[in-house]
Amino acid sequence: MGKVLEVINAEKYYGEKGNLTKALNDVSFSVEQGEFVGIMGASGSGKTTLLNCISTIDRLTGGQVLIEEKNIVGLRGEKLNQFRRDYLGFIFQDFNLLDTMTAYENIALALTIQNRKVKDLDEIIKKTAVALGIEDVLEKYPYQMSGGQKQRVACARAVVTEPKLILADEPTGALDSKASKMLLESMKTLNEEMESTILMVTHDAFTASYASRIIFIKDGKIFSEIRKDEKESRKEFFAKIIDVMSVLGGDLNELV
Amino acid sequence: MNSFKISLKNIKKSWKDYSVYFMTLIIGVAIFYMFNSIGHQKFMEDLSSSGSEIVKLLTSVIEGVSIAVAFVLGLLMVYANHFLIKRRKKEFGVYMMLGMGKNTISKIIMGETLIVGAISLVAGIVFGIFGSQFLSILVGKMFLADVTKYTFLFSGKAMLKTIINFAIIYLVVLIFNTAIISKYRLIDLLNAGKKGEKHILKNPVVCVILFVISALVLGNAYYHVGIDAENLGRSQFLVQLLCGIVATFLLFWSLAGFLLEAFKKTKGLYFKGLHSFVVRQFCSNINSSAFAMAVISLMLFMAMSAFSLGFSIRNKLNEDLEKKVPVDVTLEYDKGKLTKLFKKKGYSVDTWLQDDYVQVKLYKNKKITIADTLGSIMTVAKEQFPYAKWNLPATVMKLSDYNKIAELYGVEKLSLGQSEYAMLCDIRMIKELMDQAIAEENTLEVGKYSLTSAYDECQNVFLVMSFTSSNMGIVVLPDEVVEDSATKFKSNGYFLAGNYMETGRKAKREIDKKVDEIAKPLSETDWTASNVELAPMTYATRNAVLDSSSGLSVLSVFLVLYIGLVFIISSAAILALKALSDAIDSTTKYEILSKIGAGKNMMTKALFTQTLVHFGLPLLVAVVHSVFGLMFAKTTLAIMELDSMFSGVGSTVVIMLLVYGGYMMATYFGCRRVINID
Repeated sequence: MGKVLEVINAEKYYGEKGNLTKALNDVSFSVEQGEFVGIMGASGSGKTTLLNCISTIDRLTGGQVLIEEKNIVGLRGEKLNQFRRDYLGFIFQDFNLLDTMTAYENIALALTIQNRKVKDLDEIIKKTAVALGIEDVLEKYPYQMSGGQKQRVACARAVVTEPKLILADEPTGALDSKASKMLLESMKTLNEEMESTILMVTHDAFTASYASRIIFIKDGKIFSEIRKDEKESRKEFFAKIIDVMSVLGGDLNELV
Repeated sequence: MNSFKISLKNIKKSWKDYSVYFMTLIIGVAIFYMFNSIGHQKFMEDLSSSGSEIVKLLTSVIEGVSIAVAFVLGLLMVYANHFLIKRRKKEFGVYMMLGMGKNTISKIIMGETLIVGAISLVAGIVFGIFGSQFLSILVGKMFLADVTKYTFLFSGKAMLKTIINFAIIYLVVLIFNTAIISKYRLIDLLNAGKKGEKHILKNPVVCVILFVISALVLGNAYYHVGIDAENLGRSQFLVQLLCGIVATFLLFWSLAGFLLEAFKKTKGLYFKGLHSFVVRQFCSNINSSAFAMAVISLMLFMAMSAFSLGFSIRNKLNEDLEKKVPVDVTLEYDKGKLTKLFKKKGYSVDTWLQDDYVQVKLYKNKKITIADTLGSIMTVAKEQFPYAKWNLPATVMKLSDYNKIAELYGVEKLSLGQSEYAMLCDIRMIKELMDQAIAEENTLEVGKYSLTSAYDECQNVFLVMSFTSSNMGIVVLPDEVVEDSATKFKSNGYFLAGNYMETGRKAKREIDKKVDEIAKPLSETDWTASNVELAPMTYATRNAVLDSSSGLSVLSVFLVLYIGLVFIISSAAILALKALSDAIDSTTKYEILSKIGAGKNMMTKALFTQTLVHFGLPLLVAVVHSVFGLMFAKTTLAIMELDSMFSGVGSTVVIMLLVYGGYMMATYFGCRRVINID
């Protein structure tokens, strides 16, 4: 299996000389095709900056981001849009659905922007909707749906174009625990059955436990990385995550 | 920080976003001042040196119209303010969270209204003063007068009026604002920022049905008013007008639902690029402001109709004006010689008319009615003018007499054979009928004479001068036919035309006054009398014709410019405000679009389409309304020969393109800036 994403020596600085903040400090990692990777860290650890730089919303100060072995740091203008459109899918914390359009139209929009043929739309959308369990809400408007439904619609919009990489920024941040669970189950299905590659940023251990590999970030650097074994249950993996987090958050040296 | 400082800061902040609105206020004040100062401008004195009533009329009409204009501008401001305050709920919520009372918030808003009011008043009046100077020059150019002598004039009265009017409007706005604020609760204010926006969902079936109904009602009204106008009574016209207005409102109410259904049916178009987004945005936009859209559409309709009609009237009036006044005075009197009349009144024409004046006798004969001159065409004529009295005897004159007048007027003389006649008529609709009668070789039978027309058509001439055409038809016969006692021609009064001895403008005006003194009382028909008898005198002086012509031109042009411009800028300003505030709301939407991969080109195109449709739709409805409205005007006003009105349509298109198009483009760029696509 090839590498979908490769981040090499990524650096992102804010501010000017003498007052420099290193949001990302020499971060390197890669994501294989079909992986479900979680990135964890406390607020201000740089995880969102990392996601923004991968998603081309923000620019790195130094280093490279390769997607399908193509460096995206130098992309500009229409090429950048085109890349974002064809390679990436986004899921946001606050759903970001267009409130004047139905769920169906929201999902369709991602396809029409790619100039897909009209006759293909229906089949693709229906298939994705079934996979995410939202076929009943397709004709509803966002304000008629629950938070969980909205997030799954957003999820459908992200995956319907079959992007190389799905980027999820705190996808469960605005959901209650039941809705979170349903969304994560759906994402797992996408990952396992449709072989979508997912990169998810979160600070919630439960959410992270659905991933197959977790990268921990602290102060702009990779702190550690854990991988879920095939035989391991999610409960055991969750316990492992908590272990790392306790080390990550409660650095004994700092208590002095 | 006191509340005034906050007000000042707020205005600075929103100046950029709502500059279109502020500019509209300034232009509104400027227009108001300009037109109210017209009565005091120098050119008006010139136009009215004969003391004609036109200036008084113009001033009083403009005063009356100003009330309507102030009302429209007031509505615009109340709407705009209501709208802007609603948008600022979150901001007020934060103020209240920080412990500010509603009183203080009211004070902040009061401060803002006062500052905006003061700035727009001062700037508007300054622009207005310069504008009225420009207007003076324009009027001078339009009405052929000497431009150089029009100097810069300032009208204190107009300024005072402007200030008072707008002070009242701002006061009303202030009261409205305070009332709105006092109603708000903190929780509502704070939650306003969240996407709790309610979407007015309408039943699509109801929408489609209502849309079809309103389209049918409009179509019916169009047919009756535009195409079948001749058979339209006054009360029926009002009914159709009312139907049209109601249908317009229904149309906009149901339009979004209908369009959405229609678009969804054409999947290939709907699911392409950002089309579905644009359609949805637009539909939610008209759904939330259907009423305003309908009002705007009707205002645009009124403005465009007024423009087209006003300019048409002016064009018609200025056409060949000089040809319409070949001599200084013309009179027609039914009861004897005019020379005798003036002598009796102690103002013998020999003392003030040049020697070459012409006085001729007019005749009539029971055998020659107007109907006779039309012959077989009479049935057509009766259909076109059912109320005209066709059986009255026509006015007849001798060939030699006519040729004397023709020489004086400088028009072609006529020559007739022994059994020939000639027709004179300058009302186009009637002339056309008479031409048809001539083409069908109509003959006039009187005594032993059987006369046919010597010419292929009516002569397009007149006896008494007038700024509109007024010669209904005069028959010219060979002298011997009239003089033959067997034909029994009777006297039909006398006609006199001539030039004054005096050449100075003032002296001529003096003579005009004297003529008025004698002729006017005789020319006034008492329409209130139980048995209406037409006055025996018709007369016109050259100055009076020129005055009423240019006066009427000025009046019509000023009025349409005044009303039309105010209506257009008010409508455009409301549309612009709505579009801009929508743009502020849509910022996140465009961000989403960008994130899911829509390119810059795609988004600018979507935004442009959105703005275009937003401005274009009310205009489109108004244009269709206007087309049929003008068709109606053409039919009903044709007797005044105003059917050449389509020359006025050109001017209207130019004005609309400049003003309305300007607003549209300004809005588009404003939205682009707000959304920050780049």
